[in-house]
Amino acid sequence: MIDPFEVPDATFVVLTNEAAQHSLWPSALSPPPGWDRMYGPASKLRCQRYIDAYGRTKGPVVTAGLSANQEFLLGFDRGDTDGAFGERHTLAGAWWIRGEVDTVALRAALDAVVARHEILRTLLVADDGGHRQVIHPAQPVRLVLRDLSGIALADRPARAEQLLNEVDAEPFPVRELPHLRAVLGRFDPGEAVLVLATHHTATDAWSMEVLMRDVSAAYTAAEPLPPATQYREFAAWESTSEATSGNERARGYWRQALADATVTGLPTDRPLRPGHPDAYAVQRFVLDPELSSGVTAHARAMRSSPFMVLLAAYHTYLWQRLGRCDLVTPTFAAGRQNDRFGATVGPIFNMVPLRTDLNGCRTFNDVLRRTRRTCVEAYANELSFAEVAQLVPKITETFTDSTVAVAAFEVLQYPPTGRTVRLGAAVVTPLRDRRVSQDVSSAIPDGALWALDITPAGEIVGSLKYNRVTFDDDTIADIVAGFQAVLRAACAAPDAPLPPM
Amino acid sequence: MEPSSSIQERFAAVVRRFPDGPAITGGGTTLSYRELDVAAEQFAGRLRLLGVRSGDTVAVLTGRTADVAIVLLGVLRAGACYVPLHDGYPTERLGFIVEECRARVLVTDQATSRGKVLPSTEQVLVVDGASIASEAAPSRLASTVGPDETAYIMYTSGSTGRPKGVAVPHRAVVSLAEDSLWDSGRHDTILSVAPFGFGVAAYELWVPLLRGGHVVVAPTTTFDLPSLRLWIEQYSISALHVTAGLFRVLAHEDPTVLSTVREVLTGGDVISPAAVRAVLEANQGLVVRAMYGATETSSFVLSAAVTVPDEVGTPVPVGVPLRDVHAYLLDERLTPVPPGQEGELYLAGPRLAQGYIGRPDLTADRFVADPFGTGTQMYRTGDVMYRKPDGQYEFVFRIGEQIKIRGFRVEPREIEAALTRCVGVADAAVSARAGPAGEKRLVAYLVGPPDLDLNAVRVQVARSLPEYMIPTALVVLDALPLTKNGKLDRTALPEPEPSGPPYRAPRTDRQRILCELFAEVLEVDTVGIEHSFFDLNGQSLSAIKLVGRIRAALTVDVSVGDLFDAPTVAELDAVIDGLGTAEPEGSDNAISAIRGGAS
Repeated sequence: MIDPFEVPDATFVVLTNEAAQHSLWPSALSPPPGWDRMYGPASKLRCQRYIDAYGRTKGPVVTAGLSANQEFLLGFDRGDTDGAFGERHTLAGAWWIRGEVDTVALRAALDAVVARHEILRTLLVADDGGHRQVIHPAQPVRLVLRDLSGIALADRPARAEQLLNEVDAEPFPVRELPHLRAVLGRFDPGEAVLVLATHHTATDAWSMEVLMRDVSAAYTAAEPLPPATQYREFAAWESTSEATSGNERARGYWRQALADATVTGLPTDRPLRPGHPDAYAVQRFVLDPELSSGVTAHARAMRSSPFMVLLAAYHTYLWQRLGRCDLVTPTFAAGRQNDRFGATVGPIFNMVPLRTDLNGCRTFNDVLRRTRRTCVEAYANELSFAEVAQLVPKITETFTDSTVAVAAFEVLQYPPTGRTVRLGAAVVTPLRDRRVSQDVSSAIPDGALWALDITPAGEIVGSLKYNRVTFDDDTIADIVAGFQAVLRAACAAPDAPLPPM
Repeated sequence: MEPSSSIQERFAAVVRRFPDGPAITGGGTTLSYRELDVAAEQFAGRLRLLGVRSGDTVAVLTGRTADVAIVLLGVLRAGACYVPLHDGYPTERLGFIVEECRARVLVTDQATSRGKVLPSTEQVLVVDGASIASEAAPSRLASTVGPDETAYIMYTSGSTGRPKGVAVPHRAVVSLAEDSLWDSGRHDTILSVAPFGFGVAAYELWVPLLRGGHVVVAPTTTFDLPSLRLWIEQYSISALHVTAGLFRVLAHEDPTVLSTVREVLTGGDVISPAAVRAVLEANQGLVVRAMYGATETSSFVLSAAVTVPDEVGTPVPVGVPLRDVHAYLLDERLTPVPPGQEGELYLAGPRLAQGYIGRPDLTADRFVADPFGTGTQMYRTGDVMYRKPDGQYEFVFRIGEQIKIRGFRVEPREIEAALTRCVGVADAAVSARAGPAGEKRLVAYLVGPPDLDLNAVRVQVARSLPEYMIPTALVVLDALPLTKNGKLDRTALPEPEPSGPPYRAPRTDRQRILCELFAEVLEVDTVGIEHSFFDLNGQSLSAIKLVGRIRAALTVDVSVGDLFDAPTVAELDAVIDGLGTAEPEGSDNAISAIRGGAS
């Protein structure tokens, strides 16, 4: 006995009746009287997403075309569990709140932020004519209060980070609206930590800071906030002549820069297993104060950014580990060149493949100079990764190689810091010096991710997120240690000859 | 009364017919229909003053007193729907529920909310006994609620790791109450023992209240057999529903508890034919009725009555559809199967729920187009059955993995999701296994380091899962066994081994007897005085058995609560030492709540 609704790989249609109810229906069978087909045939997942997008509210919904980055994310769609639209592809951030918090006002502020940013209530759905963004009406945010009283002052930073890690590890299905949840952990009436969790297809690191500022503004302001520039406006802007004017030159650059290249993969301990869900974890590390300031000082001396120094060290490390000098590492750019979208919430981040050939480099500074040139040229010619991949499809071959994982490398970027962020009288500061590793963490759509953060105090904290299905913890620990050793040697003696490769 | 009415309209008609009849008893109070009517109207007035309007949702977390009827009817009269919460749920789950159903108000009482972190809603209304309806004048507003509006939302276990809210319309409840099954007169006085948050509560509360019957609310949903006997005798109970698990214990330990009852309903899991026979043999004239249903079909939809011990089927059949229930057995092409052939059960008719709130995708997957209607829906049960020559439906198996533990529906994936969130747990699989007493229990297989702190895992999952979903046994594995297709190989999961402290022999006669009784009930070879009831996979049902035997063997008044507080022989022995006098009969103190039974 097989249930016709549970047949693997079967196709379905979506039916609707006069009462605007929906029914999945095996596409091989004809619909009963009183029911009309409205979508399909398509996979069950596609049909359910369609119903989710159009079946929640009676009456018309606003729809819009996709951004290039949303198209890119769809390339990593592996269903509701894993991949870009998986329930663990989430992004969480935490902030210290020092001063009293009124939870009624906080709740209202969170709701106002969802009302303000459409992307927090947008679902992507495959329509008969292709994918669309479907924007839903505002819904209240789930704010969970956690009692953290009785924890000594000295233990609070670790407990706050633990709370952030717990929220980060929690599944957050992409079909749950709004794409924003909040947890407020209160140590005492004057100190709390606020964790905001989002689905990563609705935000990026930059957006998280925008969200917190908007929560602050809505909490503090008597008036409703002025309307924000919406993500769908960004998607529409991407194809305007203003946005694409330099693209012809950029296309020429990428064709040449990435000719015959593939993204560099890290060899894994074992291949992905079909049917076995991803199990992401994070190992964190903190550069000691001398090394942290060494990196920033050396960057300044070489007229580079700390990112360039860190990436140069990573490339030097990869050269030693893999024995290859032609390296392509993807990074994530903020994608916020146009100030108009500086306060827009949404996945504006863009993957940029950085190719550097280290052949002939004798010192770390040689590597750094080449890395610097790569970065400067790539920034000047930024194109959406979707378009780059179309120009030079070969570079994405690594993603389908079962023996390696693509490791992206980024330094987190935030909007410029200005005035102090407050909730009423309470002062809000981001919790960014994260140092507690996670056995279970949020996931990424594929591969591994280095994320480094230069905290406001100047300390550099880093993390490597990886899939435990493919990597042993020890392998990752070895890679993390190897990278730090190279970085330390590089900053100590940047002009010393590199060991022979 | 035409079937197209709301619960409150139907109730109003009952009030006119039986104004002075007893409607509900609980917490030491009995309300007549007239008194309940007036109080409910006043309470509706209070809710309106708080801003509750038509279409709103009100969460209800009250104790087991007569007030529950005032609150539920008051919510409905205010035009809102109620969401019954279970006080056994952890705060996190309660929080999720009130957020998801957007409850505007939470109604609770002092006794239930004391010492509990309440989920946050716009308003919390704490009611208690005397003051429940005293503050607002009644305002007779015409009811504008139609039969197709939501009466209540009940939460069940969901597969994606979060509970699902089933929205049940007035029409479904009224249809259930109007079923001719209750016309026998055997359901005049019903004992309510199920938590208000579970599907059976629709029968226990609304069948009597919408027919002029009398509902007696048991002070607790976890009890021992002497308490059950006491309530049945004290209130002349004519009918009640007990879970299949409790029914088995009752049949085994003391079937005469039901000697004055006229009809006993049971279901929610496999019903033991031997238990049915034992109960019938001990109680001449009693009707045992096997019930089949789901929250999605507003409780019972099929039933099988048995009155003669020799006619108990093996297995006990699912039975025949209730009135207005359309039951279809369909094949892969959704066409009816011939009699005797297996098909999946689909249900249609006025008893269907409206779907899962906020989950149109799940709703469209379970409430599908009815090929035998025009634009109507049918509910896909996932149960495969066949029809016997006498027309009775008989259960064969359940499609998929959903399991029932002690009558509660459980999605293993929800538990697995909670386990994998625990520190150190890389992967998890949950399976239902037969325990030492043949009873189904949950076993969790965890992938993690060999020194994984299992107690910490238990504490962490207890934060988000109700007690009955917490696995009884935890087993650490290097990796989960997989089939060739990379799917979890459930057949290769090992049986859990009982663990605990080393054996220490009893030192007194009483300890020796206790050790023997522990071993007998928990079906293990030997029990030392330091071995804990819980480490030996004890559960609430085995606790009832064990306490019954201890009382009989030692003539002492230990309670289930004593066993839970003092779960080793050594500890329980000390408790018995301290027992001076027998507990007062009939007081609530005599009924010990069973908490954390499976941990």
